Amino acid sequence: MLEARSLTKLYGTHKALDHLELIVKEGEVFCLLGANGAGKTTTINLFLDFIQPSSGQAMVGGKNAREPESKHLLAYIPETVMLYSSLTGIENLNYFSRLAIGREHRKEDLSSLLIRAGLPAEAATKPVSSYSKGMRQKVGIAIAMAKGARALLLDEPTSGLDPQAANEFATLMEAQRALGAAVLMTTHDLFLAKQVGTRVGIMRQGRLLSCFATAGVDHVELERMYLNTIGGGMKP
Amino acid sequence: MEGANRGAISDILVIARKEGLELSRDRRLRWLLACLLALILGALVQGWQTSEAESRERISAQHANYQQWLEQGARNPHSAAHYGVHAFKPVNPLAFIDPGVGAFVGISVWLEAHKQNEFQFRPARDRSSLYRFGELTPALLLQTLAPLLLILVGFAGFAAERENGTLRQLLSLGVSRKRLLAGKALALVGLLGAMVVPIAVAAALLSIGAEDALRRLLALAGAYFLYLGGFVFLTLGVSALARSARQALLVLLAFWLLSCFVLPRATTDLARHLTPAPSGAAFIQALTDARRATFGHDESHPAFIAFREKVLRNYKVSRTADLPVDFRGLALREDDHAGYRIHDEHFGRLWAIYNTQDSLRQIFGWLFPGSSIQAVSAGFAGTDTQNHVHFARAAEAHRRVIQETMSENLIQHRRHDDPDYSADRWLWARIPPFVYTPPTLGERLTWQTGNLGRLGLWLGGCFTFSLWAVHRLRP
Amino acid sequence: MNLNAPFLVCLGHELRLLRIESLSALIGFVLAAAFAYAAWNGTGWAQRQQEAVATAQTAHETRVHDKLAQLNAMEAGTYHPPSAFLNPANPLWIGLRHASTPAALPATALQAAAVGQSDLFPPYLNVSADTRDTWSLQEDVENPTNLLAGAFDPTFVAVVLLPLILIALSYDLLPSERERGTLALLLTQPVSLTTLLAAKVTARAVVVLGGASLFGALSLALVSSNPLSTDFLLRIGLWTALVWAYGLFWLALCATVSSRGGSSAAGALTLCGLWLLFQLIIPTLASSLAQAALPAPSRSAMVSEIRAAQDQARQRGDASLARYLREHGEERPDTPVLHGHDLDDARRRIVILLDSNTEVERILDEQERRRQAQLSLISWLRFLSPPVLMHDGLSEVAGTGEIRLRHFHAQAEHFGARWREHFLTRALRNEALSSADYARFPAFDYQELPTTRLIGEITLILSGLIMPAALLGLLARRRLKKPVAHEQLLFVPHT
Ligand SMILES: Nc1ncnc2c1ncn2[C@@H]1O[C@H](COP(=O)(O)OP(=O)(O)OP(=O)(O)O)[C@@H](O)[C@H]1O
Ligand SMILES: [Mg+2]
Repeated sequence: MLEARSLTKLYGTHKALDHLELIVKEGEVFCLLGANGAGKTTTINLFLDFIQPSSGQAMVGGKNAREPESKHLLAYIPETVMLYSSLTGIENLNYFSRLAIGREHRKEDLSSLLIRAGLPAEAATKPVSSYSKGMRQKVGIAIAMAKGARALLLDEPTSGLDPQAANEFATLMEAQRALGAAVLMTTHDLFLAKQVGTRVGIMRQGRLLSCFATAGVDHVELERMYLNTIGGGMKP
Repeated sequence: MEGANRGAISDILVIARKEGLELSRDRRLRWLLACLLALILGALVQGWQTSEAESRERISAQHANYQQWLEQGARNPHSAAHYGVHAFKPVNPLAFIDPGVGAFVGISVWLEAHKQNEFQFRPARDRSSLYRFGELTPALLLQTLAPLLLILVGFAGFAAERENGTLRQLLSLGVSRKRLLAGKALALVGLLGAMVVPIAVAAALLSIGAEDALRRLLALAGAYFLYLGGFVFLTLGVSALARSARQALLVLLAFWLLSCFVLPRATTDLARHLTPAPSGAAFIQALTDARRATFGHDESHPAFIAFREKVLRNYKVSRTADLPVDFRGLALREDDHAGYRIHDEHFGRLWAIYNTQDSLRQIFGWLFPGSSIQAVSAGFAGTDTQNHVHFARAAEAHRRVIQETMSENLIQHRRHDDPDYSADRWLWARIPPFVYTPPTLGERLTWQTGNLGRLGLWLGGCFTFSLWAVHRLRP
Repeated sequence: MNLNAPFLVCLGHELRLLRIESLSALIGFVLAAAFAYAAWNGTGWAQRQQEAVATAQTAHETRVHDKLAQLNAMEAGTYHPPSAFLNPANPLWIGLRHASTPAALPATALQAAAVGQSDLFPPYLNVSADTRDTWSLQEDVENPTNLLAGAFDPTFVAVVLLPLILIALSYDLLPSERERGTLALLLTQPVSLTTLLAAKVTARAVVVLGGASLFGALSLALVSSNPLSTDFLLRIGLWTALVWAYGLFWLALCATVSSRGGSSAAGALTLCGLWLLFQLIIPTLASSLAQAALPAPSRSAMVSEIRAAQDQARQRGDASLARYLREHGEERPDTPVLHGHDLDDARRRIVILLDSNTEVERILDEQERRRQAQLSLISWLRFLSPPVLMHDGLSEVAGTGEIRLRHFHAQAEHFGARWREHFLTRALRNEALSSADYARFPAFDYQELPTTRLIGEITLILSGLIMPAALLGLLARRRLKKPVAHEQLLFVPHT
């Protein structure tokens, strides 16, 4: 579903992303790990066509991410989902989903989507300005579900969430994966990576250094591998 | 005590220098300033040239007109009074700094027998509607663009420091808020100086030689200091009080718009509604009606007959032909004197209405100083309505000199209503060329005391407001 | 029509945001208040002018009526005029003074929309048989400070305030979405930036321009004497078209600035700068340039020239009179009015007047030619500044613009020539006026500017507004279609 072909992004002479090769299939959750500035967000932005690759291609469902049609397949959930604060959760969801699929959901469908995403029923009709960070994210997930996105791009979705909310989020992702979505997620949370990820990749200075399935790796092992890969540059 | 003072001053200088450094790093600001300065210096020189050319034209027209008067040939003195002369309003040497109402008052008036005329040929009539958008002069720059520049440069003064968090740093170092305010104000004043000083110097150089021009320039500089100083403190005060830099900008821009564009117009119309002035037709009609009581050339008019009776009685004769003086001359003088009273009354009333309208416009000058500075600036530059009226009065006085001299000549020298009586160049030369003495600086200052007071109040108010605002400043 | 087309969805959303943030109500209120006050002022000014015309008209009628009464009395033998000047049968002084008649420019149905140039050119000229300079340059009596300040009329609201309202609502069309954080989410939907921007612009056009044309038209209709006439409907139609074209220009400008990326504060500053540029810098600069290139005529020199022409005509007086008598012989009308010294005096006066008038008209025409030269240069320069175009357009639509006023002046001057001819030929022949002649005085019959001329001028101005708007729109579109557009809009480059 998501495929990076020799994807490279230069900022001036600085290589933010260096010939990245990556494939995320349907029903797979791929967790990108790496230190600050490793190039994780850059990867996500390239799939979203927020920025242009310097060379190589980001493919979504076999189409180049540069083509507008790829947007039908994608959903994006950033660290903080930003919405129109004067509108209610339902109204925000209605707006974005109408834009996404070009028709209107019934009101009941919208509320049930929000409930499925975990938003308390009474919150749906309150202005978003009164929402917590976790509630905003749930609206973001509901937008992705309403759209029926085939590929989810998540940038540090659980940072700043309390443990219970993070857990709920993991469950939701699991459900999306089971429905056959391809999920690409960046995170600094090794627990979460182990918990929801089917595969993890570790990045350093714009390069994907190692890539492996989580099955059969416990998280002590994962942490060791992570620190080894990250620290690799410091060793002579 | 002295040490503390030195500390305060050095603090303020340090703050001002840092602000200045930030400003000088801003490439866009440098460009903007350079462009504005070039534009305005160009406009200054061009405006000076046009106003010089216009001035020369009027002086030479005045001269030619006097020659025509002298060379009108032998004719009846009263015909000469009808022929009259034209008085051309001299261009004030400071008009190129603030042209004021110059384009909207006539440039000359015909001084003829029997009536006081209105001025003719408003220059704006010969220009296009572009003129309604203003003239590119130092006055426009100082009244409109300079406050805008202060706002754009200063709105972030406190608000941005708070948003960056540097304000916490500063206050935690124990820098006093007043010093912070003083330092930032000093930087803004410096920026203003960079803009105003070149203009002031250029203006002073261009107006060298004109009588009291330099002293008036000084007075102008003082008024603009009050006006712009207020904007410096207003900008910093709003910046300290606003929740965000963006809010500060919006509030300040709205204020600027109101003060410079909206209110001067809105209050003009309000003043027109509150103290309506007569239209030209109504004014002339009222004058004509009043003149009905006087006899003019109508010898069947009851007033004429009554006057004849009175004269005959005074001289103890029974026929006008027996009078030792010319009766027609006496009648002319009598009619003229009645006319003077009527004209004084009507024009006086008209100008009083204009004055009321102008002062209504300035009622809120202490809060929205745009209308006050416009009035003061044109007043000192000698281009406001009051200066125009001053000239109109002088021209009318000259007209009366002509009337009196011509009638006196008839009275003394014509005998028995001689229809062929004529005077010549000797009499015409008795009328001196028209020379206008403009009001002194002292007079102009008294005309503007109200507005200067309002500008002082404005500066004081803004200063107090900014002190209060920085006192409330929360990092 | 597909109600779920992205454009319509965005449009509905924008309108809802404007409503929720109470902006539509606020704008509606501001526009309604501004236009109501402006229309009140505009109609006050128009009324004042029409009252002036009425005053002049009444004064004229009273004078003529009094003279006619005297004439009747004279014919009945009960009145003996004390002088040739007061003689009601003397065509010379009837044409020169007593019957001088106001040639008036009627108000249009939309007069209240603009003061325009009508505060400098009075709505009537008191035409007499005298040389043209004595009446064609008449000015109204008005406080010069008022003239300088200008009026708060509907034109001011439309030309100056409307763009500010548009800018206040649109300086951050796209930056606001970024700063709010919603731009990222929007860009992951299958909707193009162009559609998004177009919807935003349309929403603002609907609210602000819709409000402006609604409240503007409403308040003008309320103060108009005849809001159902075709004249009003035509003019208000053109007025509305101008408001929309002008508004679209500013919106296109906002869209272009937004499409460049950058912060909303930078956008606000840029747009303020552009407002100032078009509103103040370009007009004043163009005015200075035009004056330097093709200076306006010198009226002070004109005064001397006219005086010299009159002096010369006076010196030629005896010769001109002799020539007249040689050419026309001693005419003996059936009803002579003047005799002896009076007749000689009158004839000399007339031949001098006619002689000097030829020269005076040449001088005046030359002055007007110089004036027109500068105006025609400016009529091109004004295309550099939409506010100036709009100001001229609205004045013309209201009937207070240069074109209509010029049209009126030309007619009045023509009428003046007819009037002079009518009275002075009779006076030269020394033919007395009868009471029947009083009913046959020439009358001024104003022919309105042809509608096609008005429409032509407005079309020119409209195209001068719409073309730059379209170009700006295309520019914004091209920028947004560029591959780097997303990146530029999402990430502000660090300064
Ligand atoms: N707009 C930009 N201009 C210049 N350099 C950039 C820009 N955006 C990102 N970079 C650089 O690209 C590199 C990768 O950044 P990226 O945001 O992808 O890191 P990340 O892995 O998401 O880090 P974090 O964990 O902090 O979110 C960094 O070195 C960063 O400095
Ligand atoms: Mg990141």
